[in-house]
Amino acid sequence: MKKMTYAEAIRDGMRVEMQRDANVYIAGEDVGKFGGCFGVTAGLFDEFPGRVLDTPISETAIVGHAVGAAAAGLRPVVEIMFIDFMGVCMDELFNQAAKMRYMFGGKAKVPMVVRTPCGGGMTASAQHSQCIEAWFTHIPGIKTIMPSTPADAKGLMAAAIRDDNPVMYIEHKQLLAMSGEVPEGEYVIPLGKADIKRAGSDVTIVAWSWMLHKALAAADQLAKEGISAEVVDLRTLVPLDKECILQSVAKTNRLVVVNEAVRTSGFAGEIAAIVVEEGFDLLDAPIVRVTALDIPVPFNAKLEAVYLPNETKIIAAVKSLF
Amino acid sequence: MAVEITMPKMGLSMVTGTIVKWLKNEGDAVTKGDIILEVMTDKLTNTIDAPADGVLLRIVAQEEEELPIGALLGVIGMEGEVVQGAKTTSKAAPAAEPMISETKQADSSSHEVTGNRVKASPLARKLAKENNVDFTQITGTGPSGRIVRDDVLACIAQGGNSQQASTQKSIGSPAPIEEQDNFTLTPYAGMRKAVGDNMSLSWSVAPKVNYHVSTDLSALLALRKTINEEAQVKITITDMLVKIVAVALRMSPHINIALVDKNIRNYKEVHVGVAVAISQGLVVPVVKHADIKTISQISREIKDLSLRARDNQLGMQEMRGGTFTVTNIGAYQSVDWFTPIINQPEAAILGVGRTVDTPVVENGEIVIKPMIGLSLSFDHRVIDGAPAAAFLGLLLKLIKKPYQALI
Repeated sequence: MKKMTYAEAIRDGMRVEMQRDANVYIAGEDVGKFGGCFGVTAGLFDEFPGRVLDTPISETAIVGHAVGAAAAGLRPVVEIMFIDFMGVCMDELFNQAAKMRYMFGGKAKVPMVVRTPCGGGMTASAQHSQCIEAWFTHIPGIKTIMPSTPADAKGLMAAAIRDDNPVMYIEHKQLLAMSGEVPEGEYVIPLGKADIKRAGSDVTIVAWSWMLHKALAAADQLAKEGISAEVVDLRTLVPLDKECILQSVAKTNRLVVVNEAVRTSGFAGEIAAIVVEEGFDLLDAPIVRVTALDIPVPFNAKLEAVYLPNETKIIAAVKSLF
Repeated sequence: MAVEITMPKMGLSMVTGTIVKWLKNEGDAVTKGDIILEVMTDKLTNTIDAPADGVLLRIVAQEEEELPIGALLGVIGMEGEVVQGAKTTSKAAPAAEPMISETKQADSSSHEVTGNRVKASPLARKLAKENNVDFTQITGTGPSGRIVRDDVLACIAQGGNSQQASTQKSIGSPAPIEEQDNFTLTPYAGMRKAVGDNMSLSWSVAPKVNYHVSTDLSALLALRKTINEEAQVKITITDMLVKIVAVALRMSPHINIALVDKNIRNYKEVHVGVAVAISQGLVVPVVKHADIKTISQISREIKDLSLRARDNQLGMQEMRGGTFTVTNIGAYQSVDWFTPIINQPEAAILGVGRTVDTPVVENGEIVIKPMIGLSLSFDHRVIDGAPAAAFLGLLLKLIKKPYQALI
């Protein structure tokens, strides 16, 4: 084990896979000598000559070329500087990357990873703070990963690169500097496995990415008040570990889902729907979602704090179930 | 489109309401705003208006039923509209359908089920079914009165409530057959239950101390006589005591408090509640800012509030916000002192007993004085003995020199 930041863990995950497989390469805006807008690819340009490519400022080109390269046998890991820019390259992703393997009857595979940072809480305003993972979970053919810890970030990066399908690897800007123990060398976490980050008996809180940490903090506070919360970290949204969620709800009979995205049509609603459909008799209380408000992310720090889910909102949601 | 009539929330403390009377029958045409039924809450009988124009298609909640906020009471819709699970009257039933008799049968049976509108969690329903428990007979303790897992488990722990079990239960504590004709049953509900619940709460949370004293009322009686020679409306001893208590509270902020959740509220204003007995129970309308009102203002207000309390015409707002309560049972001429229960979350209450001519010693002489019995009960969690005694002393001083409270 080695202590490293979430950003370093992502880099380490990519490094190990690049050492393992010569087909893996990196491309994106300023990912080369500059090391990426958030420094995630720092050093890899020198470490892997010719395999870390600066691209023009064109998300369409970045994702579009990756689709072709992946179909032709390479394993591109491309960076989109902010998830908010995904609108530009959406056709390449959802009509090309996601559909190819199916439409070609399995004769073409698209093993590519799109790395992109999401999330708010840093007064980056409405176009640089969003959580739009539900855009991608709504597209069959794409896998969506949102790690919450450095170790998960590394293990899931390895799994993403090794997967033969397009993978959205969504990092959270708030987590990049967070440090933790990370296994050295090859380390793979299979996609579709949730992780119980805290065991409890009274209520299940499902969360992912930055919100996992809000949920854990809320659980700490709730424990002091005699409520034992189990915190489930989804880690990957697609494929989704339904069993883990349902088993936890079977134990606690109550569910709160925390999602940093805006409320309407968010992934929290998907989880609620699944649990109602498949675990109706497990529930002793309504399912409550804690989400952002249905508005663009405010720039003003105080307004943004109102917009975002937080510990207080999670605690209130949990208490409303008792 | 059918519109549901649901139990409204008619006050902060309201949890349930009891149906007093429907003023419309199923099938009656109603106009939005028509008064269609009476509901008794904790303290008051309120009327509920029709939420829409149309026909009262269905009455769900029966008279004397006690239901939580949000419970379905009835349905208004268009004439002929079929409400899911509704028992439609023949007048409102859709005509010329060959299936009509069957439909009606199904409707009336589902009426029995949906008419209860019992809220129970899916898990509670499943547990109840597995254990042969009739969950509709369980009282829910979850949010909005929902029956939750623990309620069913508690019911099972107590031996369940299946028909067999309930028969055994009733055999366990029966009234002897010859006595059964000897009483009638009144539901412990509505105002009776609200008063009872408040008393139980106060009794269980407040370590209460009672102080008793008698004091010479002659100065106050003399002042009252003087005032009443001029006053258009005759003022009462209660009016004067409310004024004196209010002035004393203004001078004793440590008594003018309440314990709410984890905080002691130190009230900035003095609002004195006055207990009023009415036929259904007891209400405590509040004289706001009693310390700065004149005696005649207080007098008029108390008369108005008690009159309207007896007619069930008080608004919730008029019974909220008290910081101290006065309860006067002197008029019955039967009690000197008693141990009044504190009106939570207030911290103290003054009980007023009868006034009796009594021999007392004054300046070494035995003289006859009209002595009034006073009882101060206080919550020892937030008021200690010494300040309570000082407050009572202040009251005695003001009763002996009542004009001090007026200037």
